[in-house]
Amino acid sequence: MNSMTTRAERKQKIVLQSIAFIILGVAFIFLWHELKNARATSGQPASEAILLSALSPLFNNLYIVLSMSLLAILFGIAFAFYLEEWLPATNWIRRLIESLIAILTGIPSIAYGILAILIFFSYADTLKEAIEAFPLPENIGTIPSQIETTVFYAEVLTFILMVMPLTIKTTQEALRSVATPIREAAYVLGANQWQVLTRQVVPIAFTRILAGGCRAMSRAFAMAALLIGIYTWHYTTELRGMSGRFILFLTVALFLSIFSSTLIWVHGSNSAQHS
Amino acid sequence: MENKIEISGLQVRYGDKTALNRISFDVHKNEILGIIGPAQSGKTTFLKVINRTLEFIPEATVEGTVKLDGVDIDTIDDVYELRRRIGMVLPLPVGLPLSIYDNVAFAPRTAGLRTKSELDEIVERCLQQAALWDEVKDRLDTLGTKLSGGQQQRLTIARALSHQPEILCLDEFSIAIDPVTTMRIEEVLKTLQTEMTILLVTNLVQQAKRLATRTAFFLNGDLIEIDTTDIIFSDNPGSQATYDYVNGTFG
Ligand SMILES: Nc1ncnc2c1ncn2[C@@H]1O[C@H](COP(=O)(O)OP(=O)(O)O)[C@@H](O)[C@H]1O
Ligand SMILES: [Mg+2]
Repeated sequence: MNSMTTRAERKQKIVLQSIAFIILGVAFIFLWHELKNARATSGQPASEAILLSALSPLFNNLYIVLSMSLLAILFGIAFAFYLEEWLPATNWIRRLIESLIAILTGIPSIAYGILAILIFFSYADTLKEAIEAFPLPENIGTIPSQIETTVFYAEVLTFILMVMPLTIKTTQEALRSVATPIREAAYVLGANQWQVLTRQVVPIAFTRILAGGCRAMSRAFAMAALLIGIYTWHYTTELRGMSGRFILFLTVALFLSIFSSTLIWVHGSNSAQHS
Repeated sequence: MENKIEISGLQVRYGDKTALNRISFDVHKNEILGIIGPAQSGKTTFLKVINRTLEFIPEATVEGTVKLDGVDIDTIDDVYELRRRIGMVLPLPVGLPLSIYDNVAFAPRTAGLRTKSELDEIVERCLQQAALWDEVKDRLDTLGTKLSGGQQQRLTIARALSHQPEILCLDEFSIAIDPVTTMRIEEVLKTLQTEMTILLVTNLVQQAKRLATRTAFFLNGDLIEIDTTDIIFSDNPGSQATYDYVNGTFG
């Protein structure tokens, strides 16, 4: 695909990436500052036991966040269909969204990871206070929902910002890979748009759409792993229980990524055989 | 002579580039009309006007009228119905990601036909007509894309026939297939002529000479001339350009 891009497209890509890196650089300086403050104020790890217990809502959240990511991926796929198949290429909404997506997907995922960590750290104090307000460990499950909700929404937003544009982009590329002549083959037989989509386009593009979804999910898992890893690294010395999860998440991320690449590879050799 | 298609003042532009320049002619019922001309002369564009697939190209604009059996095709509400009346064979065989059987049954199914026995009958008849039946009758459930290039092109012909079109359009159908297969398909076309009107766009002038009742010569979006194949291929057709193109001394 890359070799098919025109000079103008390559130029555009370079520009977008430089913009992304500038934004990233600024964000990083900002985040670094925030992180330092966050650590300074929470410098005294008063009670490790409490902080360890404080992790449990985070993990509960993470599972929700991951299922939200899955939803975001499904929604992203649907949205890509809408953009690519129903809106004309010149439609301004489509152009606006596509340039937004280009910017968001141009940002390396580590930046999202840092963003997520920042969000978490900046709420860590509040979280700690909340926990300290309820000294009994069994009350931890009932952390004031207001605080949990803020962190939760922030996390969900980060995950969605990360996986959705990626999914939309890969799905759009998959749909675009079903070139006009292939669609025309069905149209000339009197099929309507829906029939062309369900019987011609989706079967052909399915593998690539699936691969794109897996890649996005893999990113979400990798970021979740990062979040766990960094959190536990800072706040506990008892890593055993936690690192298990860290490795689990990382393994899942790796597996999804490999699976996605395999799909593309198999798909590529299949279609080479067919044509 | 009954007219199947009447084209008058047909002009097609892509943006400000004119692809067809006010052409007018009639296509007779049950003739094979050969359409010849160098690349970029608007032949494919013409076929796209007929089945209204030109509508997929946003920058394309059409003026003039095309009448099918006396009805302006622009006034036909159900464009899918119009397309089912026209069989279209494109230059390169494009497989639907389906079995051989399902490829041929695709159009009847989209039109709402569900009865297995009727579908079986259509599949067999069309594969017979496309001279493919004997080669594939034992493996109808294998993927159509697994066939060889020539077989795939015959599969697209079978597909184009599956909805019993009144008009069969072929756009440089032999571009990707070997001469032997081409000859077999040409035989098929001759027999099909009794049932339908055939528009044969071809880059091989000899193919038009072998098959066509009449031949039209397109050049840069203009219809230079249309006449019986005998006259077009004679020593003095209506235009010098025709003579040069047909005899390969063009340009
Ligand atoms: N999708 C398109 N967009 C813009 N111009 C086109 C498109 N398709 C064809 N054309 C132009 O229209 C003219 C006629 O093309 P075409 O109908 O494909 O000719 P032919 O089939 O005789 O080779 C050419 O100049 C070509 O560049
Ligand atoms: Mg052409």
